Amino acid sequence: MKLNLKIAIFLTAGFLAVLLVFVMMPGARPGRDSLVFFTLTAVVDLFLAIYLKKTVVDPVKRLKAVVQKIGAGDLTKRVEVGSHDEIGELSASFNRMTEKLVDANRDLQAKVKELSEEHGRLSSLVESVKLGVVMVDLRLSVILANQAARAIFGKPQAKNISFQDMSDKIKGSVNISQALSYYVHAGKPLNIQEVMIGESYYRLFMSPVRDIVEHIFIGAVVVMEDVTDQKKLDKMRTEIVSVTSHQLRTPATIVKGNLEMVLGGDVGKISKAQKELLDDTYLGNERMIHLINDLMDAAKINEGKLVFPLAPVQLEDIVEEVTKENQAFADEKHVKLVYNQPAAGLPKVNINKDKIKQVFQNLIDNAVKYSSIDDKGRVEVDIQSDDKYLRFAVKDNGIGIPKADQEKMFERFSRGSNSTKLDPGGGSGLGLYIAKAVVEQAGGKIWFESKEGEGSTFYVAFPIH
Amino acid sequence: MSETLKKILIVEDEEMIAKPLGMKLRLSGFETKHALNGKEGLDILAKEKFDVILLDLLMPEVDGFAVLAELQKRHDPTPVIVATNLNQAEDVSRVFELGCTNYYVKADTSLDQIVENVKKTIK
Repeated sequence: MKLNLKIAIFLTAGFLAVLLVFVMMPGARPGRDSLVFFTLTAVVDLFLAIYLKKTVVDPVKRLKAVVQKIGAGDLTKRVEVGSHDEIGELSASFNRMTEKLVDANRDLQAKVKELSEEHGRLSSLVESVKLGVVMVDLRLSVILANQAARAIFGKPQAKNISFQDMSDKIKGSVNISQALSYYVHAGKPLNIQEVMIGESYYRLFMSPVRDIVEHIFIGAVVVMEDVTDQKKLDKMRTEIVSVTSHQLRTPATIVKGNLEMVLGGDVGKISKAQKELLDDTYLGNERMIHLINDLMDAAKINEGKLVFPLAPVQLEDIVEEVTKENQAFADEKHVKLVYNQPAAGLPKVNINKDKIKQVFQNLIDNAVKYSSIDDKGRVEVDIQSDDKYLRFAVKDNGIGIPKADQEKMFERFSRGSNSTKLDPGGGSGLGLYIAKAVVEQAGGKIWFESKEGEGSTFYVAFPIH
Repeated sequence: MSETLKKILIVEDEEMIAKPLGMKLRLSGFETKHALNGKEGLDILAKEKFDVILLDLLMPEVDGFAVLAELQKRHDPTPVIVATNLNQAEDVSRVFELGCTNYYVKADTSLDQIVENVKKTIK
């Protein structure tokens, strides 16, 4: 029942009780009547006050006490709902609200637990990885450095590492702080192949860090991978290749010299059969020398030592020479080898003559070999120039290079998957790898266009100075 | 051809490389002598004059570089053709600085080419 109604009924009952007393009283005496009236009214008021205290003041007090306890964090407290009036409804609503608060609080605590567990997992992961991990904020202050990173910079605690320390200690081709500021603000990752920190070699990966919610940049993470062992191994491997191939050249030279004497008839006549066999022996030995040379060159490229002296050369002279030298091989393979002689007056280019000759030799040899499928093989060699480049091209109508193999053609030991039938002995798989290095050392470019079953065109271009 | 034969000194630690080379040169009308290492070569050169020296680079003890340096010190004008397996730019420029006249890479050069080279050097 509503509180207003209760009070109205109470007051009406009181008024009726006073009225009844007056009606029942015999006679009318003004003095006595007003005394009785006031007394009765006072009694009604007293009852009203007691009634109001019980129905309004006490429940509000109880509510207040509970609200204070809940406010202090004790969510187990509930208000007693005694009546069905507004105070009762208020108490019930308040209890419902408290239940909701309890639920929300439970969810929140679960979330916090989940998050802190995840944080713990991530921190121990970051802390225990062998890679050095450093995180910086937008002002490039270090806010996190894992154990590996602290060891790299020789500091016991992350807060002892300053970004200045880092960029001072990292020796490489790039200024770390400049690069990092630039890339972080551009929001791009950056990899640096090789830097030195102290005596060790590292590879660096840097990437910007974004806020998960707002996706704005809040800093960057720098990951350092120690590649010293890898480098040592690589160096050792290259040295082994270099030393062994060097050693192999001596016996190959002995075989070559002796066979030349015998085959040249310098030490007496040999029979036709003997000559045939020794000719093959000689070619086999030449192939071995070629392989050894390729291995040595590849080792040098790997060590970054492929440096051949450059001098101005008339490119068409080399091309003409190589084409002539390959004529016999083309005839043998029934391939038509054509050299489209350029107009006179081409400028010279700055190259290493011997090495570039080897490159052309290799390209023309390949073109002839891979177009010798039937008697319709045709290889065209030409030179063209514009005002910036002199471009050599060798075009064949041979088997071409399958699309899947094209991307890897200039890598070490790479061969077209369809090449083995026409080149059963096979080359070293190093020819194009070396060609690329030799051409690029002279500031040139090498590339090709090819379609499987239709043929390939290889281009080599050198800048005109 | 002149009355006396032109004399070639081969300084090469690999006998089996020196042998066909010597044969070829003698068949081509030269007189040859073989030194097994740099020290032996320098000893012979102290006593005898040659028209061309064919010099290997990598030899034990006294190597080709040392021979070239010593000849420079002696102001010996005998033309030297360096036979090498090292075809690296830095070695090539070093032997030229040390006064070598010409060089070839061993496994890549035929005996005929070497003879041509010697003839060109003597003129």
